[in-house]
Amino acid sequence: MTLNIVAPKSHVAATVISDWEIWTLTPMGFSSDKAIAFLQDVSTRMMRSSACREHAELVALAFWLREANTRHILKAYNESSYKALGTVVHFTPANVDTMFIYSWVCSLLTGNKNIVRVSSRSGAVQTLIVALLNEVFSFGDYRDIAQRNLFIQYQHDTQEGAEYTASLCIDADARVLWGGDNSVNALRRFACKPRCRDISFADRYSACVIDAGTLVKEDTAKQAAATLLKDIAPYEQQACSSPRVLFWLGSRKSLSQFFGQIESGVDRQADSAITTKNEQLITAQSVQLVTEVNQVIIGGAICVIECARFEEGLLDYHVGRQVLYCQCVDTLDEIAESISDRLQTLSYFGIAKQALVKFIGQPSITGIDRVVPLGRALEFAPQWDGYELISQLARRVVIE
Amino acid sequence: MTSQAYQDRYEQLLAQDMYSLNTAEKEGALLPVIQALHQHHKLHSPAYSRLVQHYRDQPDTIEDVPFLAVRLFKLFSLSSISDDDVFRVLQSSGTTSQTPAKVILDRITSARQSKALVKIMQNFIGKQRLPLLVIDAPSVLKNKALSARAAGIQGMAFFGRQTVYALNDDMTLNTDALNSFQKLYADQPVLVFGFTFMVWTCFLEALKAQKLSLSLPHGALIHSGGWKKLTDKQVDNPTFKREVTRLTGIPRVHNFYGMAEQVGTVFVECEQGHLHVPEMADILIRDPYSLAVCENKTQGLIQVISSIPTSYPGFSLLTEDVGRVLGQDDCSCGRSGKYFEVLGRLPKTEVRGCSDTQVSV
Repeated sequence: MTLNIVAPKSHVAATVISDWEIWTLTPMGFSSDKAIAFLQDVSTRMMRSSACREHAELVALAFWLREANTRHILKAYNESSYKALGTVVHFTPANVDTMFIYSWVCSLLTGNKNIVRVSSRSGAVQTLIVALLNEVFSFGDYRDIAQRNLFIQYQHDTQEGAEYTASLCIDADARVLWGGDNSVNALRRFACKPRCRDISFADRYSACVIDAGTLVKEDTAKQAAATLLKDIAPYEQQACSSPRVLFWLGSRKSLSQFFGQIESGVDRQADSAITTKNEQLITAQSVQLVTEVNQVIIGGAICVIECARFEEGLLDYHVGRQVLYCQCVDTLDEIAESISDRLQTLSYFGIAKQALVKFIGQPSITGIDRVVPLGRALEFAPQWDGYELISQLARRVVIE
Repeated sequence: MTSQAYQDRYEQLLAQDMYSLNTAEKEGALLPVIQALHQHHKLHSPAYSRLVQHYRDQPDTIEDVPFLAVRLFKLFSLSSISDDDVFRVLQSSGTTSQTPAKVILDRITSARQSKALVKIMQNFIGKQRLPLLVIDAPSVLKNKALSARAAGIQGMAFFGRQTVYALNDDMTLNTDALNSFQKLYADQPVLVFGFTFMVWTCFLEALKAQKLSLSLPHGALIHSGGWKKLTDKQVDNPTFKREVTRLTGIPRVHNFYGMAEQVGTVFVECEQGHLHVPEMADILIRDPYSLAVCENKTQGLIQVISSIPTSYPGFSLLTEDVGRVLGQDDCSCGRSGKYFEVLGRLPKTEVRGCSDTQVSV
């Protein structure tokens, strides 16, 4: 396979990457009305398309792309002067079909030119997004944007692919690198300009914490269950921000009660693939072989593996598929012993924000970049993995 | 050390005529053996004992018997014997997956496997040792690590004499060997053995391509190894059989279902095209969404139970194969017990991790 420009479809590029016109064009302005309008148009079309509306993640994306939201995101930067960096190259992942859009949007809003390499393994959602982008790119109004934003695909694990990657890296002003630790390291080995900025999203995992004491009322327990499912059901739980671990502030008994209760409310066949239960069994049995497991609850939609103590090494056996490693704890502080800087998002239920602020404040906590209420783990924000994407993807100009 | 209780019960089971017990009698005979295996592995396999630590003391029915996901044998080395007692380590072919399964055998388990295989196969091909044509290359046995392919051929060699290999080491037809085999044995019963996919591609298709045919009108072909690659080529069992008979004259073709993780207890296809469950094994079909046992005729994951292994805790395994029980005790071939069919495999599970943006170098 050679290199494919998937959007804008009509774009004709030179055969050699370093000859592409995009490198020579001037960037757009920071926070340009045109970029905002473009995204609003994509949003409107997404909302109108019945095919898109079938996917919850596209509904969420469409909502996020609205003018009101993008202006809100940019508001914090109105006071100072920012300019685009130049050309940003994005290497995006396959596990979350919408991810490539979010980091690209941040870069578009700061005025950069962008080359986004999208995965050739992604599914229907990516296809829908690409089709919509192509539609909006074709409007005469957005010619400037269409010239400055390319979505490409190529087989990266070939000699030819490595050459493409090398050419893209050598001229980039910033690289957005999604991937596991190995992929990010491999990409960073490609030579780049001395001032090129790397924004790396490497291997992370996420956890949630639920205070069992707050679940006495049946309604509250139901709400907790619904929000928990909202965080772990999409993308087969393979997004980095989907919790894979549950710290349960409460007893083992209350844990099994809670999961016993929620199973009855879940339509187990609707959402799950034919392979899911077998994969859950493999994970549960593997974990049992390597650590002390107190109980396994596998009958329902969520497979719960209650470990005497959670260790990050156990994540090697986690392949998504609605599996939660659980550890019962007496206090929030107990969590600190099991986690490292690999922990990205901590979603919570039944715990006061104040207590969390205090908890995170401890110098010994080196991980956790996001703490959000349960149910919102997958909501993308321009603050991600500890980065503030808008300012990272722009040059701050000081005028005195 | 194998418990006496297990040993005695297993011998009793093996002494039965194969396929003579009906389903109810069968469970009565098999369950005590399986219970003894459960206790044996709890005692001798730390892994098994961890897996069943929250399980009650003893399964009361075959359905209650705990099962291990078959993939665990790819991820872990599971053993119920000391390292000194390891006789050989069997490796699954690993053709469809990259990591082969590892099955640890001691002498006694290995001997039990061979004996069981003989007992089962005799029911289909008779007690006499026959001239054997192996649809493979002789080099397959030379590899030091015992592959499932080599183990299968070694197992079948018990039934053969004057073994001839049909293929050269480069997997082309050894036409000289085939010609002399045919010349010597065309008028008498012979046994032909091979792996389903190789029989098709390296033997039948090769004969066809070279416009050759054989005449072994008293032969029987035994083959195994899965249909996946043939299904991709749109070759089903009837087509396979028809082509065998057309190109080789062999009238009897028996497929069997078995796996490296449970060598010995194989499920052989009868004259009606049904796979039969022998006395010393059982199968259950489980709903892939709940793992609950399914009714007969309903499709699900195949759980295989074998009374043989004492050296590794693999006597009850949930496979990734899909099948269904077609009936019990009433197959018109006359054999008692359950009979079933294999319909394919679970689709390959693709994990789309974050880690695929670049191959590591």
